[in-house]
Amino acid sequence: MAMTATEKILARASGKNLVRPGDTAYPDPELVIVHDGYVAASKSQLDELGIPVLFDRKRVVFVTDHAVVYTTPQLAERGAAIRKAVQEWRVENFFDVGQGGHGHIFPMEMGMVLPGSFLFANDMHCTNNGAIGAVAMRTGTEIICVLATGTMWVEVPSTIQITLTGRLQPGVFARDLGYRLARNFTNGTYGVDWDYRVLEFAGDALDHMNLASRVAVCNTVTEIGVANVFFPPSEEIIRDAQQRAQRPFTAVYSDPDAHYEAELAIDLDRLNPQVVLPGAPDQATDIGTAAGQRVDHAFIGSCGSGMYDDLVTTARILKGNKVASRTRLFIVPGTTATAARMVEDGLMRVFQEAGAVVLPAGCGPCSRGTMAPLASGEVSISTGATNVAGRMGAKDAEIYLASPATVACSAVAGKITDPREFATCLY
Amino acid sequence: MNIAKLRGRCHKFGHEMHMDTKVMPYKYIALHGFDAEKLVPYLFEDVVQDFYKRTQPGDFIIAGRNFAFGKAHPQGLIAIATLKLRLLCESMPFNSFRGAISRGIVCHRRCEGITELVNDGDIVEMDFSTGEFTNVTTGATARYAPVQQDLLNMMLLGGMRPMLEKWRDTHLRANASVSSG
Repeated sequence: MAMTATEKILARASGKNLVRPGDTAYPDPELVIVHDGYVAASKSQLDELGIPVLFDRKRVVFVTDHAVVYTTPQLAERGAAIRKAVQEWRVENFFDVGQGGHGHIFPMEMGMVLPGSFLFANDMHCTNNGAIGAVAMRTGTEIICVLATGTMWVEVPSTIQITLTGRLQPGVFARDLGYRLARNFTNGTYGVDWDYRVLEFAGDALDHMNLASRVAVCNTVTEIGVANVFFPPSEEIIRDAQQRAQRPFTAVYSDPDAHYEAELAIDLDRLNPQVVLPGAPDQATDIGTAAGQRVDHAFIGSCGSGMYDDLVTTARILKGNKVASRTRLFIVPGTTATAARMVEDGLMRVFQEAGAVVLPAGCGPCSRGTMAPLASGEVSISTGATNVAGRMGAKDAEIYLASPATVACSAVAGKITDPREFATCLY
Repeated sequence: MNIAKLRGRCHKFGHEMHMDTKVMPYKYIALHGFDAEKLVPYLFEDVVQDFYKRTQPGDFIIAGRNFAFGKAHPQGLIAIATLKLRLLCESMPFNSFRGAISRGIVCHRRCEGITELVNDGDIVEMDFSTGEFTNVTTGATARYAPVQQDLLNMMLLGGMRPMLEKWRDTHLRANASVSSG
């Protein structure tokens, strides 16, 4: 029987030959990734339940990305509780402050998450792992069930196939595609239900999409409530993964006759740069609608656009330019390895000369504004994961979302600016 | 005795009950966090005033399409679970459904057309293991898909925590010796 890639990965992890959408499965994960917002709470809940050991301490990975510099004494206390939990549980894969970086990126970069992998993670943006051809399922607070028993029930989701044709035009980036997709699902343009569906991409256009582009798309469509996003890994992605792999892997692809609940086709040639209006991540519009809006605050990076290629795009725009005098720009590399490479390759110097502030690898301002927050009435434009009120500080601040190029151009101009107006963007 | 066949009074709601406005207004999420007793008085506050005073444990919330849509904040579900209410709806987002099961709310999210079969205050009966629904007051009946046995067991047990307690009592010794290796 034909299956989609996600169905195959779930079937294999569950010890079954076949699964179908709607089935309940209990997959056995290769890894379980927990971020710093959940470790200490999970430890105290499991202690309270009288469960002192993890299902397999060698498959559990603790990452530090939400609070990486402890901006309050309470966060420092939480950091101490995390280290105590690591010690008591004897977790080997612990990435403390300053190590690894964003937990939705560095496990792919380090060859811990590979094409075909199945993993659980507490955070919804684990959908990033679909960029490499892996399946990561969000657990939320049920992470304690996975940490204790090694699994939890999963309903096999239906899959929607999205075929991409054409090419992203100069000044238009993968994030613009994701924003547009999110908008068109929730406003009914596509006429299909997206709730708890897997969005699987196909088409010739994938040949031109590197891992960073794929991550950007996975990241931008997640908040509307899809179960997952899946990109069939390209030869380039497989080759890179082979160089980094910490264990053998087999890439998984959908069968040619796999059943999709719906099939959509998107022509990239016709896509314009997008800006997501404040309030919800599915409020995308062509950039012309918001162009000229003053911005006080801008940030580029974190889980959705913090890969090295995103920062190269950013540096290309910032080189020889200055951030506008009443605007502050923060750059958040996704991983510590990317931060190191930024220094080696001269990107750091470009950012500093432009007047941007480089923050440590992690979530940056998008983690409730624990770093670089917004004041009341301020306006921000960023590559953050979402833009609901209060996401980056003051509840009455306005948060626009855009591609790294649009954010960089807007920071230089001090107002929302179409990247096609910047010659360095048109390559 | 069929423990999955449950009877109670119906509290009827319409379609599109948004999680952060109609189920549990967001301001109380920020104010009361996960404090169940403090959240209970605000359940459905903007739809039915003092809703919590009108319920008995075992009553049914019967709602239309897209119940508890929006960000799957758990506070509304915590209040429903604390009041020991059951839930039947025409549809609800998966993450809200998952949260309901995790909190031990006995629920069914694919009861198409059910709001046309009930009035507020009717006595209803649902056999979650077969999907057979009866409006005891009017005699109307419907048949829906049964709830999957694993999920039904977790709901009837009281959700994830009691399930983990049960798991601890039956598995822990064996697993502890494996994990310490």
